[in-house]
Amino acid sequence: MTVTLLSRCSVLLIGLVVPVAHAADAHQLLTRIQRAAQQVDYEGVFVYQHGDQLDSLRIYHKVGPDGVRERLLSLNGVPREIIRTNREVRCYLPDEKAVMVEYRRAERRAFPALLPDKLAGLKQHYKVTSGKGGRVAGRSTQLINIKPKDAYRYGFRLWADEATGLLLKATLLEDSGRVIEQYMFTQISTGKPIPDTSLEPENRSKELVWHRADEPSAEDSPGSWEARRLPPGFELTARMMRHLPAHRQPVEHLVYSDGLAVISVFVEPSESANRSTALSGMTQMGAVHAYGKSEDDHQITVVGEVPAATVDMVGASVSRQP
Amino acid sequence: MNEELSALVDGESSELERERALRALCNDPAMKATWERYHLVSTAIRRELHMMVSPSVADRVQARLQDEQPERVGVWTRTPRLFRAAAGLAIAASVAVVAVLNLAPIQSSLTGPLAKSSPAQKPASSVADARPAPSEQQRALNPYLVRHGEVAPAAGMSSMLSHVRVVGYDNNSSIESKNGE
Repeated sequence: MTVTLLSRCSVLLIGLVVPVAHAADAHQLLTRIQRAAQQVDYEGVFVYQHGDQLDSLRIYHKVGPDGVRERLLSLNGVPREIIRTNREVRCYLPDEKAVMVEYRRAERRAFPALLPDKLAGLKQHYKVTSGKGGRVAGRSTQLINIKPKDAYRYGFRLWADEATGLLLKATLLEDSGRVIEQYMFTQISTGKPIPDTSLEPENRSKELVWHRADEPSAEDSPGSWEARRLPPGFELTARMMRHLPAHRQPVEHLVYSDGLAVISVFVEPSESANRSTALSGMTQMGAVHAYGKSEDDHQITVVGEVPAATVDMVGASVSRQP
Repeated sequence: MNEELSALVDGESSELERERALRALCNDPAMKATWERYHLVSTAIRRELHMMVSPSVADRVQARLQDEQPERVGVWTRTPRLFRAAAGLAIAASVAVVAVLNLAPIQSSLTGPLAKSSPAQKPASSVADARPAPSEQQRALNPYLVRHGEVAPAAGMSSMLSHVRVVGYDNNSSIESKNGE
């Protein structure tokens, strides 16, 4: 009991005292943003703009002994919801009368997080600067500007709360400077307890059909597929076999990253993928480009928050290892 | 253009950018209207300070915002819940800034057929054949996006960014397909 109490207290303490980066060093700031997401409880409303679409979403984010629990609720249009724990991700999609469940692994060794040692490598492909940002959601911010050095990746501008390190605003930019996507908190509160009921789904309709991904398989893939061409700086950071909701057979998931941008390559037998919706060619959702092709009786799907040219280059080069 | 307006709002634009944005503002009546409304809101925000002394200012500005509602088709019909929920001016104003910033694109999508915006309004893409995902394909892509979200922490926003696309992608009003799929 004492131990639990103690560990809770320490979580609370860490949550309150994420150190302020006085020197406004960009890399320290990035690390601080990452830590804050793991250590600070918050609740708020943010807007998400992509193309000519503007959405408003509410988020609840609670840190507990079992890790972070998060609930995301769309405030306009269809009331879609996502509830994320360290065990699973549930997507409530009332317009599709469906709940999609994706299981997560407890250990995150395959997680290509923005770790300080990786940040050093960032400098090769991005110019990272920092300074004082404007006010966001009524709070003072520090601004990080991440500018790509070539056209294979997007730029980021990140506004972090001076007090907590939480990311309050983020924009993704093309190399021309055009904004592709942006997020901004309009209201956020920290330091108040978040009741467990706030993390319960609103969608409780019996009509919802549950699509569960099977529990993750223990063994990772032997690795029979690969991307032959990658933009400079990208490398394979993870390779795994995963069951996806509503997919009959496990999917081979390859993860390529330059330390910041991440590209996912999914490979599955063609008979497992639904032919009518199997992606062929390039498509776009906000900053995400997705590319699909059929190769050697397999469906290849590539997604990433990178320019179309990058997804195209990687996607076209995916083939079976000799 | 939104970006330049946004930069202006944040006070982060350079002299050159500011001049360009202002020149564009003067030449575009819709943008000019947006800009004027922004000024109203901006004034409201500055008066935040006086609110402590005189709370009636908040009421007056909010009343003024509400009076003007009929003129602002798109945005205000999309955000009334937020407005009613907003207890004080501070939140109302910040929501309004966002609404104002995004007025132009939302209006343009409302004046045309809901599901299609004219190609002229669509920003040029770096690769010509990249097109917004048709709804069936978007649905089929959701499991991949969720899975991808688990490995793409997107600069510390945890996997929120990827998940937002699944939650926030309104497939009734933003889907278009050049190939008529």
